[in-house]
Amino acid sequence: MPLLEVKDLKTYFSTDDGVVKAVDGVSFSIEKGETLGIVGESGSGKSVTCLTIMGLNNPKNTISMGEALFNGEDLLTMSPGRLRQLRGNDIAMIFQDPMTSLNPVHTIGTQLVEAVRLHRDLTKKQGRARALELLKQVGIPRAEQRIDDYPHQFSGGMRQRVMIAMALINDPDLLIADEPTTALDVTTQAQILALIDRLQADYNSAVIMITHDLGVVAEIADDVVVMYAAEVAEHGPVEAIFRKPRHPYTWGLMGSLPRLDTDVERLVQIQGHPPSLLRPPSGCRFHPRCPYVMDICRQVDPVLAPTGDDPRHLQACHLDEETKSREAEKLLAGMMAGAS
Amino acid sequence: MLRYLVRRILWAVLLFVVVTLIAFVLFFLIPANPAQLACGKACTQQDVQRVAHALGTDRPVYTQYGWFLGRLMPVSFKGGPHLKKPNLGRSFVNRRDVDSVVAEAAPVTASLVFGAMILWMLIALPVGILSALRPRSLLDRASMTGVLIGISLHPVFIGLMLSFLIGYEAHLTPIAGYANFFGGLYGAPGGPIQWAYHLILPWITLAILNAAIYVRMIRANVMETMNEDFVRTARAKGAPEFRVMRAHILRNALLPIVTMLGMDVAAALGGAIFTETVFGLNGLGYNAIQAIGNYDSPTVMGIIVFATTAIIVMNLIVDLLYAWIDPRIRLV
Amino acid sequence: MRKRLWYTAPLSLIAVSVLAALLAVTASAQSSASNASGTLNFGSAGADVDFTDPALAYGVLSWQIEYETCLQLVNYPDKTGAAGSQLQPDAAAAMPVISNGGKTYTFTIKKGLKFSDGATVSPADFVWAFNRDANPAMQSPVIPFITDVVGVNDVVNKKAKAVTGVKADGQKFIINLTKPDGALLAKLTMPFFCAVERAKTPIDPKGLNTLPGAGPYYIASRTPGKQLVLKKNPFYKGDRPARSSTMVFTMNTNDQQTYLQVTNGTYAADPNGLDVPTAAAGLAKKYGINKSRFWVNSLVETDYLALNTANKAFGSLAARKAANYAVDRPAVLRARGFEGGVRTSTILPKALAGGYWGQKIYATKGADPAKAKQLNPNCGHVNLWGGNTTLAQTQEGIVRYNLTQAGCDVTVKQFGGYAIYTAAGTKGADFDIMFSGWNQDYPDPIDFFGILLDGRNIHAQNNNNLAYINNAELNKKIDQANAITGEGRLKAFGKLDIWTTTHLAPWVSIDNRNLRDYIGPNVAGYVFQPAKAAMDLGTLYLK
Repeated sequence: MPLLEVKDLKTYFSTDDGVVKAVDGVSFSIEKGETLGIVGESGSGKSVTCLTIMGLNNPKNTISMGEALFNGEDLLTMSPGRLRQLRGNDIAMIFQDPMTSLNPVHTIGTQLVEAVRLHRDLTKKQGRARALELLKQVGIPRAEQRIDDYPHQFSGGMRQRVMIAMALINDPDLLIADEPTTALDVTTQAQILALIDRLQADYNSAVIMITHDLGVVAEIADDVVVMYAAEVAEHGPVEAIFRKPRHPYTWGLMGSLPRLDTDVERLVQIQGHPPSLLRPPSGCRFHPRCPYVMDICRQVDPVLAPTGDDPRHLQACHLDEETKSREAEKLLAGMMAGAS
Repeated sequence: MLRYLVRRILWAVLLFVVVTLIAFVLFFLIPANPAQLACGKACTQQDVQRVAHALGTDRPVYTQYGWFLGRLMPVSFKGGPHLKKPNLGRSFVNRRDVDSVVAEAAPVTASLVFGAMILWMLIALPVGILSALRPRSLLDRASMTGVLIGISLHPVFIGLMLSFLIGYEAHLTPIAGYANFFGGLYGAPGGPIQWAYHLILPWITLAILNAAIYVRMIRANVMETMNEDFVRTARAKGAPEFRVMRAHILRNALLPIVTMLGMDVAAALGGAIFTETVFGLNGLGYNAIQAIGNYDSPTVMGIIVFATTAIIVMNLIVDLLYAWIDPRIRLV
Repeated sequence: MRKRLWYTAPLSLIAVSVLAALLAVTASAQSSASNASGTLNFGSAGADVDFTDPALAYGVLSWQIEYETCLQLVNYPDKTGAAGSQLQPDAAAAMPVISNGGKTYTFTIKKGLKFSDGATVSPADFVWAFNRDANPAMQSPVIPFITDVVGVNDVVNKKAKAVTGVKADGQKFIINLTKPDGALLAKLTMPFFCAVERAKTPIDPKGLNTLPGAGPYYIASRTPGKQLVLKKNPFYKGDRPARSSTMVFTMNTNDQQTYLQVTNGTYAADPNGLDVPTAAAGLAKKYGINKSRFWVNSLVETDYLALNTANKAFGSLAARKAANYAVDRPAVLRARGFEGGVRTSTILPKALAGGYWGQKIYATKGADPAKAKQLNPNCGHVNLWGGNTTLAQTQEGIVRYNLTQAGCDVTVKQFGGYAIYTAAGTKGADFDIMFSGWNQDYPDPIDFFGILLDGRNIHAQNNNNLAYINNAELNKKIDQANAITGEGRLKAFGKLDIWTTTHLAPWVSIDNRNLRDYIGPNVAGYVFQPAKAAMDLGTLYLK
């Protein structure tokens, strides 16, 4: 049994303008100790997928359908009390913006101790000892003094370390990291990613890493889900995605990888903007931006199906295998050339 | 901290001088002769001049202001430097020591304002929070309607209606008047119970307007804070809703309320004029209105001195309190 | 007596549960604070007495209090109508002996009179009253009234310590004047000359709050701004009434609330009169006038428009007469509400006019713009000054309309509070016509003519002669009338009033104001004291 199995997850928000289908039929699963990368532009539904799993959407205007089985229990239908028991204890989450994700009026010690004591019957002293331990593990210098400081006294990178400490303090089975490095500078990004990687090994947690950065995914993920406009465009093991990408959107993402070393013209660039989820395009949702668009793309929404050679590698595109193969080769060759 | 306090006190002194000087000059510019009023209507020019000399109003404005400041000083240099009790001078109209006018009126106003403040916060906190939790619900719509009505109604109207319906018709409360907290006047009720009993309607009257304003403020602040990232963090930690509200939302949402409350209370201490007038409460506002009508500048200045001091002190308290509850603020 | 209705009142009205809890606790406290029989409670809306010290008290309400607590040499009795305007000896055994050509008054003080602390009243107590009044440290408002007493000016100007013109001789008390004063006895009824016990009444510029009184009551306690308590003087042996044992005045109440509290019997009355003028018509319908609870009486007061004779617009007699025809008196008076006053076109109120009151010299029934235009065809520009209250603005509107109808071009200027008197009292002020009114200090016509119309009193500032009229013939006639004492005095002034109104027309007299009183359901004994022009407090009692 996978640790988490998400089946046909749908999350709809009702707004004044109508229903926004933020997640529209997403499925994936993750095993203990594995790392899953979810990639996509902002607004593709990757964050909402995770917030739905955590039960953190505003219940007043949200409808969620499908299943999210965590150790066989459906997170979407369980009681709020049971969900609270799991949250922060078995499933923990790190958020995108460490500047705003910590409560400004409490010391970080207080917030860490709160996280422990919500789930464990510890004294404040024991909780504080555990908090200190975690702060040291995440590499906060002089943790004994800094534990009584307030969030505004920390830098962004240090705050994200505090967030990671807070997420790991109860030794969770699953850690969801929602773009944990986006708000940080490049050097700090690398440090934080290395930290997550190391701690994952130490704690043997499963990690869902949400990002728009394929580079991050390539580094740490075992499996990759590429999302576009609330749907899965491509899903498979990391080698398959990077060596044999089979969706034009994935090509676009790879083509837009930041390349500091070359001024060669990019082979593929994604034109236009992500579509509105209030009124998504007919057929394939990517078709308005797709350079390979065909008539069928405008009519029929392609189903997510295995590629010919790998049953674990799923993609949703009407292009024939040959074309996909050829184009992927070209892309990869171009990237190599650029890199050399 | 010490440097901060010293700087604040210097600013306060400057502010005090500017406020009192402006008030003093304004009074001087009014084309009415207080000596004429004090003298009596049958007075001739010589009589009025005699009285003006006795009151000191025949002197230039800077001399009079100098006397005013001199009276406020704890030292006197007349006949060698020596300590003295600062005082606010004497009323032109009834010749009472303004010190005692203020000392007797201030507890009345303070009773009214602080009692009303507790009442309006007792109303505004739960209503504001519940409205924020359930926007567009029946409760929210009802409370927002109440807010609109509360803000629109004049305290004189509220006061008169309350005392007519609850005091006069239903005999549930006194119609008007004040009872001392410590011991009553002759034949009049006194003591804490009567004090509160007489203040119920004034408290409600003063509280309605402010409750309305604070419901709206608290609702908006809580709704804004509910969408903050750290609230989501708290939920992600598995904190129950009650704890999320108390420890995370309210702690942050009520920070600006503290400042506003401090300022509102300080301003009201200067005189909740309408409420005091409707219920015959002899507080600072009532005395100020009467004194202005009588061109009794020492009494008016005395009340201004008190109100200015109250505002300056409340300002300082609010700042210190704010620094204490909001760790992001450091006093430098 | 006290309402117990709240036991039966629908408790559903209690919106706040806290309220209910408090009410339960206060039930006992409420009943213990009940009106003991013989205690009258008064609510004084928006007003406190200025002072209780008789040397300083100078207001309608404080003089009502002093009337109950003061023993005067002569005074007006606690009666209404003509009898109430008849001067009577009070501390004196009889009316004084006047000698030395009207310049010496000799009173014989009754024996056995006592202050409320048991001390005996002696002529020295009246001497002390004069010395205390004149003492510069006291700054008493009495000075303008007693400058004719020998030696007062020396004391005021710090040249002497005691007033040489007043002295005690055995049981005799003697006043010497620098010149005859026909109004002296009327002036002596003012509380400034109330007997004060020297040992208990030091010179104190702040004034004493409580002091022994020799009248039917004494001031038992005073909390400035809040409360005043009068109690029956246990040593009083005179015949003035004191029908309740205690009177408690709650000061500075709210007018609307006080009206309600008089209605339900919490208060016996507001001594200042009816608090809600708009209720007057309803009260008259319900209780009638001068029958049970609603009383209307004429004050010794005249509301008028002063015509500035020193400026061009009303410099001529014809223009002033025209103004008298132009103004719609009933309309201006109506702004004061039901029974607000009685319209008049002469100067003196009825009580001081010696039978000459009520002559319709000008149109009192309405405006006559045609006649006004005929008298003054080229009215031109007129500056009208008045107050800024709602009432004042209404009245200004009417007069502005009237004068415009009569061909004038009117500019209105409004003032807040007392500022208008400071401005208009400065000689050369540029108003042509202004709203004013005069309420007596003591019931004598010289209090009107001497102060308001005697041109010899015009100074650079603080003038009360707002018409700025200085007519030699009028001044002479004032002196002649003022020299008369006794019966003929009021008649002489009444005649002078008609002459002045006809030949000089310095004012457009509008009305003599009424006092409207409203008393509680359980109160009886209402008497309007006409000379004091106020409700007599000592005659009231609880039924």
